[in-house]
Amino acid sequence: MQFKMQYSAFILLLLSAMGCQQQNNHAGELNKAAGLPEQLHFNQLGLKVITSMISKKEATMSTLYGNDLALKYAKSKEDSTVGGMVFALVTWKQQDDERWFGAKIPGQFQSVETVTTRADGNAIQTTYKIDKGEKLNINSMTEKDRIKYILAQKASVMP
Amino acid sequence: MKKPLYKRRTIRVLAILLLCFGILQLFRPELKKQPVTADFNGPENVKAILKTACYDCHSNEPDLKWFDHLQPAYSIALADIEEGKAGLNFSEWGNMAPGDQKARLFEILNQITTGSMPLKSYQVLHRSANLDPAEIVIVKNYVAGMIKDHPADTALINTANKQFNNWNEQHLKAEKLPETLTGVPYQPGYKNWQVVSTTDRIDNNTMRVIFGNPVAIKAIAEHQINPWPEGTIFAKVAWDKLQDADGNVKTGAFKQVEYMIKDSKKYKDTKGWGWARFKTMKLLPYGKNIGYATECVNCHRPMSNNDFVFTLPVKH
Repeated sequence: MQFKMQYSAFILLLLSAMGCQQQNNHAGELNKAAGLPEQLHFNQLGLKVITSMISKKEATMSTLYGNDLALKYAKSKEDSTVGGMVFALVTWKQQDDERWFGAKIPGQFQSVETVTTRADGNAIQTTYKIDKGEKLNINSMTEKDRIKYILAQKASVMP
Repeated sequence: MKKPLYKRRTIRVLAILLLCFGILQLFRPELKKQPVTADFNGPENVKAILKTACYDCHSNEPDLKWFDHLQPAYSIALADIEEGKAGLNFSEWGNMAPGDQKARLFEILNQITTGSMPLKSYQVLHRSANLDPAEIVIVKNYVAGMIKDHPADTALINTANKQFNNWNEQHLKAEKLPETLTGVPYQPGYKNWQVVSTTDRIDNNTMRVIFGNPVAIKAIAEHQINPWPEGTIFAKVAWDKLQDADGNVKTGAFKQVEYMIKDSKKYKDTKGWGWARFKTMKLLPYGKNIGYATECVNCHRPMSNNDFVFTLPVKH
């Protein structure tokens, strides 16, 4: 009996020595700060990834999405806009990845910028909209500049 | 009337045990002596730390303690050394390409800082393998010094442009889809999936998008992600980073796509996940032999309490 007690105590000691140094790596958690506002229902728009980008100066990272027409446009080597394209550029502040020294991941959600095109006779009308996250004063770029920037992006190569 | 000493039960049992222990000592597997061909070549202070903490299982110069020589500990130690060396061998460090050495250093650092290595079970009896915070800082500073962050050179830009211009939309025929040596398939459908997260890798100058199949996205919506449900698939795509003079970075050449496929039965030997990596536009499957997934699992071990997934999912 005595022997069993000592044995258990030893096993417990061993287990505690082995188990306790694990730091909190946020197991099972979601990236709360980066989550998009629920009222946007972004996933349900069914947009596909066109490309992604990083701004070192702003410490932000962005992902550009689009519908099929927008994706086709970003893949093509020509620069001819058509009606019916939908682009959505999602931007986050960056944060260090606590799970991998040497990586950065999305931090605070910043904005979704949407560009849509509509054929109007021979001309293409372009509309711009921005949904901002909380506590955000976004840079003062003009709408026109943002549209130009978004339409200038080439699709990332995905075999 | 006391029984004579040799008739007492405890003594007998002890004697038998001692005899067994003695006989056990006769069985000694052979520790294969291998030469140190290309030893780790970092700065002396870093090397000294790694030598003390890692070399016993990760080099051709294991330093066994006196009690490691007693059976059955000796057999366990030898098995550990074999396994350790298969994963990483500092005595053959110089045989790796510089890029691979750098990648390994980040992996080593992350294994150390998360407490995954040295193994806890080993540290219990080998206190010297335990790194103190000051030692970790020394290793960290050395590894951080390898980060090179500068505008892309012409070669990188040209490679990206050429790839984009040759990127044809020929869909791979179903019978020609590449698969790994263990039969984990490349799945072209990832491009139509939603996004789990993105990463900016300053350690190797790549940027990544992690896609999740509908099962994964539903799991995120319902916050049921530890463990991830059966049928979850992640596809992580990596590109070169193309940085301009203003620090704006866009994607360059496609480098690889990696998959994690959850199937607890099929992949029970590799933590319930199928692991795959397909490199370059040729989609060459990674892995020299069917044991390649051990490497994947080892690197993901710091996340063993999170179903071996590094990515912190973003609700979109």
